[in-house]
Amino acid sequence: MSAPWEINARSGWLRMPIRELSLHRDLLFRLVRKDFLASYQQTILGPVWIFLQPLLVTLTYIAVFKSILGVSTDSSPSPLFYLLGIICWNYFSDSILNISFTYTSYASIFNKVYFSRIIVPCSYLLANFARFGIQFLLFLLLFTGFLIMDRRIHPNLFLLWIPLCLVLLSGLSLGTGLIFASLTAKYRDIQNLLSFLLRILMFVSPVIYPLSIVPDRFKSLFLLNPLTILIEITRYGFLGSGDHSLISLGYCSILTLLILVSGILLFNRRDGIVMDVI
Amino acid sequence: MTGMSDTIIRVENIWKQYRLGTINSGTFKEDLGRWLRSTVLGRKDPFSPEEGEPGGSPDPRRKWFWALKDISFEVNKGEVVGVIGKNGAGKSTLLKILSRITRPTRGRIRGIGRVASLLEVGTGFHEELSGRENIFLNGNILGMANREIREKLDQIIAFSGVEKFIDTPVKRYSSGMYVRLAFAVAAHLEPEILIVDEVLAVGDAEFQKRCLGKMNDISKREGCTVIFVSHNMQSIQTLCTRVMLIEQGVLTSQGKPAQVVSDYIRQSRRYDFVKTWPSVSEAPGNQYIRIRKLELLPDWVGNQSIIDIRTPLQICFSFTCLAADINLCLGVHLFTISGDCIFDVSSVPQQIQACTYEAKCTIPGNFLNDGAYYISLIFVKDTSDPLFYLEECLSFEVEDYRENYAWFGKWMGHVRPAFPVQIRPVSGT
Repeated sequence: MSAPWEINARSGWLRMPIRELSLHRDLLFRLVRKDFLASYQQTILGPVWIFLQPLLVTLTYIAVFKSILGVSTDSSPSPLFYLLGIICWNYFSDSILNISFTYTSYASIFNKVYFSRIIVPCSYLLANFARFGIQFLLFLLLFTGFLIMDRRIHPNLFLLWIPLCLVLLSGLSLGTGLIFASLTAKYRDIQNLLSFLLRILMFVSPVIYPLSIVPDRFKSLFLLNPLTILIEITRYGFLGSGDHSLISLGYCSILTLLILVSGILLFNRRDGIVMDVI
Repeated sequence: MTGMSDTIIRVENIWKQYRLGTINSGTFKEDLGRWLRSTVLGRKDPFSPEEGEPGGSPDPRRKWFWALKDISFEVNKGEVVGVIGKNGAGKSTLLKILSRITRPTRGRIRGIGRVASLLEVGTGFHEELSGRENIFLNGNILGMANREIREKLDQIIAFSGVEKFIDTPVKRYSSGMYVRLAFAVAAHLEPEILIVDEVLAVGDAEFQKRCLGKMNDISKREGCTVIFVSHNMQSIQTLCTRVMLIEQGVLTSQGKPAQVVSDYIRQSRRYDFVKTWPSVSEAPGNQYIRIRKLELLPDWVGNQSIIDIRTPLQICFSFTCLAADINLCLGVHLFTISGDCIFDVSSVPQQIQACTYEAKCTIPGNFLNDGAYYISLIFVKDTSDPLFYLEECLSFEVEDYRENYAWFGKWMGHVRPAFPVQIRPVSGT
């Protein structure tokens, strides 16, 4: 109960947040619930949007990219192809956006009370993961439907790698988000840059097209992007088409770890000096 | 760590530096340029916070200043420590560091136990959440489990007096309700250390009284350590076991409340009482009137040395009239610090010549309430034509004084005249 504490000038770079997260479980889950509920307050359809949003986007993509532009979806049924890409992309990009606003959205609280700041980005990640989980169930439902009706999809043993892919996607979102949270706390202009960067990233990731249509000489360049690897492997596991190299997955794991650790380090470093800046 | 048995907070040589001016406009370009110069080209960064010895004279070109300088003290369990000092002296910065909102630039603080803090008006509440949800949020932030908070919930809601609105988002609360709920949460969640900045000034007198009572209560009964900043010397003297005085970022004295408070009041009030201008050309005024001297003369009773509500105050001033044959009328306006005019008294209009005059006016004792006041002078020709208006030329503060009252909330009203309500028994029932 009476835990000793110390405040000093230097923030610990190497402080990893696992202990703090478990100590403040109740707080973490309260914030997750708040984030989750807050996004559907003052809306007519409420949580229905969780389903509706990806479905509407999928329909739009089918209409624009598939029907009008004739972009290939390999041999996969286009609803499944787009939906999977969209929910993965949404999870990634929403998490990063939310996390990057940590210091701006919580300025009024951070200015008044202390608690381990990293709880906030983690709560954003978990809230987005919950949303992703629900959308993933929707995908599974649709997937089962197609599995029975349609012979073109070939789920395979790569499904076993999907949990790892989701862990990597989460780590990548958290790490990138933390880096941007630390940067935007000091430089507001980074916020504008971020939404631009995310848009570019979406176009160079195989969300609306398969990697297979990318010309061979660019392929290795595209495979440097960890999102490409994660989305392609996930698609391959479920649908049976997509790039699936375990070497890429290994590269992706190392890169994610690096990004996550540097995100945490940067965030820890900012923590404490940042409130004098905002 | 030796002797940490009773010491609950040990502050060791705390320094805090802030950057002045362009704090918010930190742009990437500027910092990139600095980084290039300092790291790549190996030149010294002119804006480096660590450059220059702490405590050195503030250099206007270097936009850094020390808000706290080498503060060290210890606080024992169960103490109620008051922190006093002028606005901008560093009191709030110290509380911010103690409650871990910001880090010290140098030095360290060691402590034991849960710290609850109440800084400024809006505490750590989330605007969109209801009062009830915010109680839980704050409890969780303090490290309490939901179960522990649930046990305290009714007490908190009852104390705050916002039962009716407890399920309304706090963004719809008035600032008074905000503070009431915030204080109720901070005081009831059993912190080991409670840090309170000057926030209670917002609530009404009744609630202030309850808060001060509660602070007294939790320190006495639960052994909670309280550190609080207040400008209300009465409550500081009544509640605190020790008072620390901070002046320009330095902890200048600490000790028994009565001693530190009277020292502080005496020295902080000393300067403004007399102003003189020996040369006519530099004196404030215009082609008609020049002010030569302004003086506030408290009429001390006994060996008293601070102005309290009992002290009569004489306002003396002299002025030189530069024109001849003016039918002059002179007015003294007294304002509260918030700008409400208490009175406007004036002289009988009289013919004056080109020479120096002296004027006086006495504010009787037992007339003004405690608070800060300022005086303006107005010179009027022919009863309607203003010649010169000297605004806010003298300011002073009246301290509270009470006998036979256990109550120490802010007394209402701008004046506090001494005509008490008489009560007498009448026969029958």
